[in-house]
Amino acid sequence: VVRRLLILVLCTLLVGCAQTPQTDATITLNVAQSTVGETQVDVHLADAGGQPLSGAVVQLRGDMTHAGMQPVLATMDDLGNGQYRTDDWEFTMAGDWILTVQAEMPDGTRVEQMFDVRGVKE
Amino acid sequence: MIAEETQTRFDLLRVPFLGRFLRWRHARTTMQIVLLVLAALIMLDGFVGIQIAPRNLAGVLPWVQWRGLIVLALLIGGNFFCMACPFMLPRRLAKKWFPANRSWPRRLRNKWLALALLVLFFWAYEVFDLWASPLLTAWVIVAYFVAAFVIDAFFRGAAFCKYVCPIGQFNFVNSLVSPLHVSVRDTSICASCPTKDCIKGRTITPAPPTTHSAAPLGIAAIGVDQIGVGRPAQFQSGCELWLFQPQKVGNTDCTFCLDCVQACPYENVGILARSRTDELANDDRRSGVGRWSTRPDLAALAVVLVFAAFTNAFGMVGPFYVVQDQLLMTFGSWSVPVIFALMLAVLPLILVGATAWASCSLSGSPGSVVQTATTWSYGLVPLSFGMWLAHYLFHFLTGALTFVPVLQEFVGRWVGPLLGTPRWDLAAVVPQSWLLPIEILALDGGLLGSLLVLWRIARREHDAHPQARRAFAPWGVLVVLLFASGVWLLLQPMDMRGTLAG
Repeated sequence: VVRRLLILVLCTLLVGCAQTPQTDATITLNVAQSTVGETQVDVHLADAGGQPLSGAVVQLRGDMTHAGMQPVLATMDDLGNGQYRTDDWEFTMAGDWILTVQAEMPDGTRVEQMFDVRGVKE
Repeated sequence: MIAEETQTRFDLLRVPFLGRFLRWRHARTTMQIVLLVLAALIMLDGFVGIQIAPRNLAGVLPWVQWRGLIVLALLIGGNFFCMACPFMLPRRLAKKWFPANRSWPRRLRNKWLALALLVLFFWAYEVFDLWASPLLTAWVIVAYFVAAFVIDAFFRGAAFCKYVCPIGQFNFVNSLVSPLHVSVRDTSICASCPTKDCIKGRTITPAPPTTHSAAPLGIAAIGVDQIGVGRPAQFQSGCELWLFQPQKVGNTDCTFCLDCVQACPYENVGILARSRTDELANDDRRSGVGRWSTRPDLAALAVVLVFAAFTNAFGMVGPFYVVQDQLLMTFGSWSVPVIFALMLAVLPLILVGATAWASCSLSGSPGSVVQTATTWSYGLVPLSFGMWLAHYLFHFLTGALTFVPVLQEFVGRWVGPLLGTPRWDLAAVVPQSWLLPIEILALDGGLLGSLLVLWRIARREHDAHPQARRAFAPWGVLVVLLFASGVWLLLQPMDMRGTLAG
């Protein structure tokens, strides 16, 4: 009986192993205003040596921490020198948001990073 | 001869196709397997998937679709989640592997343990933002499977369902307002039934169709033994929650497992229509439960669910975070968990205790405060259900379709783009302008139901009209205050916060 229970416990523990994806580029994000409604969001992309990365296709995605809300999606404009911007980003509800920046480099490599935006106000 | 009553009452088991499916011996197992597969996918994504709730099956399916469908099922039918509960499949394995012959401890044959677990769950839900963490959600599901397996490996019957499972208790209490219940079709058949298979179980033999030898005089057995034709003999359990059909009242402790339907050799158990308020206003002795007025544990469970409904909704609106920020600044990080504990455990004691005291005093009732609270608390259940319905329907109606892109992304990650590019534009199933009216309607229904039940309790407990009115008044005031706070909550701007990605 004890052996069967131990096997079951071990099986459930083994399920809990997860991996985290790695990225080489540095992504910085700046949200102009953390309030419900439209705002401007800027992203800066740089390689491991700090050199700006231009020419990437940068997608910005916003999810609330609670499931069940439609995400906010935007393709950012490339301003050059590693700077990317969207002017009509919209926080659709007050609360905690997770912004995910996904960038596809000209050579096809992809980087992704998540940012917490806490307490977006009404 | 079948009583006239059964001919006129709606019986879900007599509905074409659906009734036939539900009467099928393996219907429950089939539904459980479907939910078990979903639970496995949820756990897989919860443990190894992206830890953003709206992009993870563990964030979406349990907290948006499942909760919404549970309250909808309770509203239009009954306790159909317990019927299809996937945690019962490993439990069945446990019953095969282990002796499962111990009696559940006498001291624990009540709802206090389940109530403590329910409070712990709601407290953890708020303090650790379970809804925003796919990983924690997956662990909760694992804990459920392990608990159901271990408990039912050692104890007879459905001890886990009856005495432990917090989800089950939520369903039991809220199904008290459901329009359907598993019930006897014709009581005269039960009166002359010598075998009581609905509680004891029976062996289904592969004998050819015959009239049951034990059929009461004058009652033709319908389809007796036909289920087992051509197959080896099998034992069909009776009710494992110890509810004896002829004395069973309503949905208390009923998991809709339909074991009694399968076990009854006279096909005398159905899923019948009923009044939504009759069970709540009734204090008859119930099989496997006793009289409600002698069960403070059951009353406490009902009361905690009332206040959990409002606390749960309060945790999702803007004013809560103003209060929380003030508490954090003034008292530090320990204050928020303490406040939730007070709202779930102490506030109900104070408010319901004060109401019961006022009711006793005004009516001159000789009963104690605890006795009065135990007798009347069930009247709060409709309003509680109204609040749960309003809250969970909000999430369901705004996000019912969000599982589609999440499933597309999940399949894309594991198998490939079989289901196409995720449709992140899919979410709501009704226009946003419909939400508030629907929520208010749910709360209105709850208020009316509670006032009606409380008045029926008042008339039951007090012969004289003036005394009944005085006893009713404080409970009426409590319900109206709760209703007003519910409307206020629904009018507040949503503010959804929680665990954030690291």
